[in-house]
Amino acid sequence: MTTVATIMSRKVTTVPSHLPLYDLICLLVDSNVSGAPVVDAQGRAIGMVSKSDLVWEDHDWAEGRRALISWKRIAGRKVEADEDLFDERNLANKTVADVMTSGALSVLPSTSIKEASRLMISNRVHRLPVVDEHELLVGIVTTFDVTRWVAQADAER
Amino acid sequence: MEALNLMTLAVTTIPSNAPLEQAHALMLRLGVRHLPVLTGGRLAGILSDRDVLLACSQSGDHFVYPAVPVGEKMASAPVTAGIHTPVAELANLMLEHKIDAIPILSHEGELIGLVTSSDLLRVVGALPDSLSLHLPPYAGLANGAAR
Repeated sequence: MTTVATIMSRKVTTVPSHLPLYDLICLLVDSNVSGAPVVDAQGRAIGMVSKSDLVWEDHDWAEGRRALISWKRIAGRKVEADEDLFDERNLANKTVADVMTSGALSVLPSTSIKEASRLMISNRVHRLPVVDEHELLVGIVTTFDVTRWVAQADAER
Repeated sequence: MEALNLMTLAVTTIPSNAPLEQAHALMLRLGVRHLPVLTGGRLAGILSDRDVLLACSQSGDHFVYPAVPVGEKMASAPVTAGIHTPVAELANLMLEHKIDAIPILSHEGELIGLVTSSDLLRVVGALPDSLSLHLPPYAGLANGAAR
């Protein structure tokens, strides 16, 4: 079956875990992406952060739906002016490390699209870091990429 | 493969005159991110959790829902498809309109299901290993791609 390497994005916006949340939000807005892999100084993927993480308090779509905190709105709204972004009271002193989903959830370029899709469904995420055998980040694969792949289907062949 | 094969049937809906807070409570309880909105039993729009979040204000740690009906915050005239719409076309509609959910209507225009991008993932996740379900490699990258 077709592999992740075929559909993944290789140009990836990454963030370090010590990045302030304010900078993270600006970055996500400016680069028009909904999430980014978190990498260490060596470029190894150590987690993922997404707009969803900024919306739900315990940073978990599956479990966190009831929890509401005050900066969810900041992350959820369409940001038009810089001053709309920053609520000092809530965001000060928080970094990517406070909201990221840590862990080893990743795929290899040789992983099948099928397996990657299963991983996203079972973990309720919409993006996965793609790493090489040394856990160095080489790309990202998202629900959007899978949708695009399906859209290319010769459905009636 | 068609919408019929992957849609969620008996999808939970909300009337357009229901309060926004009620709609959000329903989403949280069901663990869904989209609710089709009905007016007089017909599909009038679709409400996403993002629509709700954007409409709310905050007071300290609490979330304050505006006292407005769902109909005021929903996306009206949503993109829809039929039960025989091919899966590739559903995917194309999602990409083209930047949406995650497509209500599926009967020939009579009644809502009978919903297809989300997660449903697409489930379809791909269930593909047999030996068969690419007639899905070619992503166009433009096909040369030499492993299949």
